[in-house]
Amino acid sequence: MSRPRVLLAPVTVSPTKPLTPSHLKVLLPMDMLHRATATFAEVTHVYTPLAHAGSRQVAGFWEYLDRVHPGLDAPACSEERIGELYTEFQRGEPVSNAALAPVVARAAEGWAHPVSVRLLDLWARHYRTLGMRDPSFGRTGPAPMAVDDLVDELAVRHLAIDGRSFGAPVYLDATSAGLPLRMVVGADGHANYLVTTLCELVPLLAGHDHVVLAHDPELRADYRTVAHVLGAFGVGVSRLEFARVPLNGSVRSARHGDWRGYTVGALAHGFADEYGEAAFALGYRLYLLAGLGRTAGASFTHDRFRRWVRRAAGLLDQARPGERVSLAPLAGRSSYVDPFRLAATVLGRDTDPDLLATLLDVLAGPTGRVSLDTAA
Amino acid sequence: MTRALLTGLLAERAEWVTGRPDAEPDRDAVESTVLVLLRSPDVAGLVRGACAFAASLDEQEAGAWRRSWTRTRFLFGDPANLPERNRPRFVAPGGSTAWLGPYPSGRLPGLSRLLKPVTGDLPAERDVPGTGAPYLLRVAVAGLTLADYLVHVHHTLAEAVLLGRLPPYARVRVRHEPTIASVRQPVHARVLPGPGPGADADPYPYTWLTAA
Repeated sequence: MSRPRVLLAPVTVSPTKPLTPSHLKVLLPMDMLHRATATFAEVTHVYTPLAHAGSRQVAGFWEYLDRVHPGLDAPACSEERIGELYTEFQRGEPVSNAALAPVVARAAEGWAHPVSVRLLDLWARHYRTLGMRDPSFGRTGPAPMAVDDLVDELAVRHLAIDGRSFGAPVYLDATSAGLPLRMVVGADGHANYLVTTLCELVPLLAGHDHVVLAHDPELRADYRTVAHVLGAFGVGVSRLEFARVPLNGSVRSARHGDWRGYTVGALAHGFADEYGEAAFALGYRLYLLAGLGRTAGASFTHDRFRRWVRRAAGLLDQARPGERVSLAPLAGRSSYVDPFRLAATVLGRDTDPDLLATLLDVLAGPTGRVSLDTAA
Repeated sequence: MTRALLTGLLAERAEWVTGRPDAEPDRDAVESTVLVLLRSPDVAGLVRGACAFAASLDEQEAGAWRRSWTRTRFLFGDPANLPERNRPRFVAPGGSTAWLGPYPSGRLPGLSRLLKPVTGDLPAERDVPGTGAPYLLRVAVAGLTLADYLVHVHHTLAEAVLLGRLPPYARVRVRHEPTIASVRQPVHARVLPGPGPGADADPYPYTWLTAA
């Protein structure tokens, strides 16, 4: 049987604020899913950090920085300092799309504000500390398609209402699935993040059998619509939802500045230094998946985090080389392995020792290590 | 344009609806609603569909339309994506526009909540092909939104067909003017109580249908 071709498409965290446990609740499980699934499938992980550079969130922040902080020494900024600037920007009055247009145009040509470039450098270091498979998130596959081409393609397939020629918005049309029309390009031509997401994914569909979308519950309605649109191209589509992680008892967006003390740098300073990076990376994953679970119930706490890192250190210490076994059975009838199942298997009392050894090797293997194919 | 002519046309329509010559539009009357879904404002589809839709109403439905100041809601939507349970009554040639209902207002299908009110620029003038002698439909476009434009054109044609004054398959030339200044007695017109876009309190003609 040929290996299934799986396209992973988690929602992109735009580099405008510190990386928080809520962001990592999507990124780390998808890293696990990727590592495990790549042992029996061809996996493409679509993740372009600046995919949404033209959005109000990103271009708006950049416009704000250039207007209010023109002399900022971006390469010297810490992640926390950038987070404060972002919070400051969010408190300000939004500017018009016309004022954003020059920034959006520069972004379309590939320009990125030095503050976001700085943040991506800091994040690449975090991803290494966290044992991410591809810390630079290099993209593969064809370039994103142009917005106009995407809208043409969607309209022909009855997946969009196209108001471009008469001064109206463009809406994604998943009404046949009982979902409301979703505006994605304003009457002024401003395209939102769903358009940039689809511009990236649609050109890749022909080479894949299955798409796995990952997002938080706030984006559920949008991603149900995206799933319907992608499915209409003939691929299988799954959606994985990862609840946001409450900090100090509340779930709030990074724009509120509640991330202090919970950045990767702050956590690594306390725990990676003490238990080692491998235990930090595995413990973080297990805490998010098994400790905090599927719903946004308990808050992320340093005490709990410490317990999970310690437990991960114990697992890694006790790991014995075993015979390599196939991870494909963990996928069941699916074409990918669910990360919650991966975490439960790692922690299971009855898990076969060879399976555990294989899992630890695959999940906690070194960053950048790609040849994980088993002889399954 | 004489005030008397406009007042007469307004009264004529009020009488047609309420059965009383001096009736003010009764906003509390039982209303029914027609949903028109469109992918884009297609004048030819709108003209053909409005006439065909009106012609398709049976006597009871036509009577209900008359008595109830029927509302028409124009929503962005794709006729091709209508679910089985919301079969349209009529789909315009080309498939861009579909008619559903009439529904008692307040009992609209759930589908209506998924769709968005139309917005955007007014469509261009069109000569809509048909049979027999041509008609001229003038539309007062000063200050008119797309949604209002569609409502006025649609009601003018649908009512003219229901009144037997416009053959359902007639040729119709649609022309735009800032405001209508005409003294010819129309075949049918859509005249509403003032003020219109100006401050004038006189009844205001939004459309004017005559033999071409």
